[in-house]
Amino acid sequence: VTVPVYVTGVGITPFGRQPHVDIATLARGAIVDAVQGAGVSHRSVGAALFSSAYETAGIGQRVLKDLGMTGIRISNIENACAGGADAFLQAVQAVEHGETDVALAVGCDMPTRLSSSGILPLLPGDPALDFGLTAPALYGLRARRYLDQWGVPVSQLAAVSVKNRTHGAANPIASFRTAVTLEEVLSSPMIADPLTRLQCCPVSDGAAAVIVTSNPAAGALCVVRGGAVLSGTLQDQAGAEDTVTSRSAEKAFGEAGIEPGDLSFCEVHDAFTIGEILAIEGLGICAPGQAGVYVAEGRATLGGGGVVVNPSGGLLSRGHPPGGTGVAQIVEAALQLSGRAGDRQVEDARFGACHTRGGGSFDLDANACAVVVLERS
Amino acid sequence: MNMDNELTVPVAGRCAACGSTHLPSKPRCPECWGVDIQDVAVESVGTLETYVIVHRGPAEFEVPYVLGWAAFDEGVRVLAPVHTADLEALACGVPVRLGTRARDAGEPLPVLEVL
Repeated sequence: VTVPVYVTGVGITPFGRQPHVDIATLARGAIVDAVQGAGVSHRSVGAALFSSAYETAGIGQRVLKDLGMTGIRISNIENACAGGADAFLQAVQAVEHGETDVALAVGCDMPTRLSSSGILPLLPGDPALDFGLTAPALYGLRARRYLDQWGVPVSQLAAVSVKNRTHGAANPIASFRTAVTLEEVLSSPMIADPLTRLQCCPVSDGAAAVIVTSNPAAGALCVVRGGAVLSGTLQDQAGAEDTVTSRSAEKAFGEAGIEPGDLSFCEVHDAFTIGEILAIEGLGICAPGQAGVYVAEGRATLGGGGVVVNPSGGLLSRGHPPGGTGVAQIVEAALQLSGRAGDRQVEDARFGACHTRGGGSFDLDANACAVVVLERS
Repeated sequence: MNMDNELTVPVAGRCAACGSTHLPSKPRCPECWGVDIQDVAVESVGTLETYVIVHRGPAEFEVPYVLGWAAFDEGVRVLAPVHTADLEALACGVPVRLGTRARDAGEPLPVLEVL
C-alpha cells in the first residue's frame, strides 16, 4: 500500500437465519451504518465493490440504486469465501490509485435460502459432485491427515470450537452466542469423521460494509498495511502441498513489513475447526503441527498471552455468508484496532490480520485465499 | 451408481517434454504447455494419504461413505471414493489400488480399493 488508506466506517447486520428480509434491505443496513460512521456523504463514495457468492447478477447496482449511489463505479465480485476480502482490497486499490477519495466494500449473502446441501455449490459437471465431496468432507480429509501426521488427539480440534464459541458469546451479531464444552463438541453428531457438527460453522445470512479513504478527516478506525489474493494450485501430482494460505500470508506480511509474531490478533477461516488450525500454521504463527497445542493450551484465547485467534468468535460463532465473511472480518479488525470491541477487546491491539479461503474447483486446493494486514492508526 | 461394472485401469497423461503427469489427463501440459501427452496406465500400488468417513451427505448418497486422497508411483495424486470391507481397518498409509468404473451416464468414476 503506497498511499495510506484508512478504514473510517464499518457496518454489519446480525448474522443468522433472516427469512423476513430481502438481501438488498440487509445490505443497505450495513452500508448506511458504514457511511454514517465514516462521517461522509453517500455522494462522496466514488467506487463500490460488492462481494457475493450467489447474487452476482448486478447485486451492487440493485442495492445501491435506492440509496442514490448511482453513476459511480459499481463492480460485482465472486471469489468464493475470499470474495469479501477481494472486494475490500479492490476498494483499497481504487483509493490508492487515485480513482476516488472514498470507496465502499460490501459483502453479503443469504445462504439459508438455498436448497443445496453445500455451502458453495459446485459447478455442474464437477467430478466431486459424483462422489459426494461435501465441504465438511473436504475439511475432514485435512483433519484426518493432520491428526495422523502429528499424532495429536481430536480434542485439539474441538478446542477451537470451545474457544471461538467463548469469544462469540461477546459478539452481539454472532449467530451462536453461547459457550460449549469440549465434551459437547466431541459428542455432537458426526458429520465427516473426525469432524462433528459443533466443529462446523453455521450457514448464516448477513451483510457487512466498510468505507475506506485516503483522507480520514473525521477520524480513522485503522490503516491498511498489506493484502494479497491468490488462487490455489493443482493437487493432482504426487507431493502436491496445500500452500495457498502460506503464499498469501508471505505476500501480505511482506507488503506490510511485519512478522507473524507482530500480530496482536487474527481473524481466520474457521469454517471447520481444522481450518483454523491450518490457518494458524499457514500464517506462520505456529510451526507445522503446533497450532493444535497452541489453541488447546489457551494461547489463542483472549487474554491467553499469544496471538488471539478469532476474537469475533469466527465463522464457528458468527456464521458464514460466503461472500460476506471477508468483509465481516475487516469490520471486526477495525473494531479491535480502534478499541471498540467491547467485552471481546484484544488488549493493546496494534496489528491484525484477516484470512479467508475457499472454493473448490476439482483438483485445486482452493479457488482463492486472501490475507489482509491492518494496523491501528 | 452401478457397482457391478468391472474396474478398469485408469490412464493418466504424461508430458513428453517435461514428464509431469496428470490424472485426469489434460490436453496441454499445465507445467510447460507441451502438447505431446502420452498415456500412462496407473497400475502401481498407491498409498492412502488421508481419508474421511462421511456421515451426512447429499440425499442421494447412502451413508457412511468414504473418500480419500492417494498418491501413486506414476506421479499422480487422486481424490476418489474409497471401497473397503472394514471401516475399522482404515488408516492413513494403507496400500490402495486405483480403478475406474464405467457408469450409465457421465465420465467413469475413479475408485480407490483398499488392499
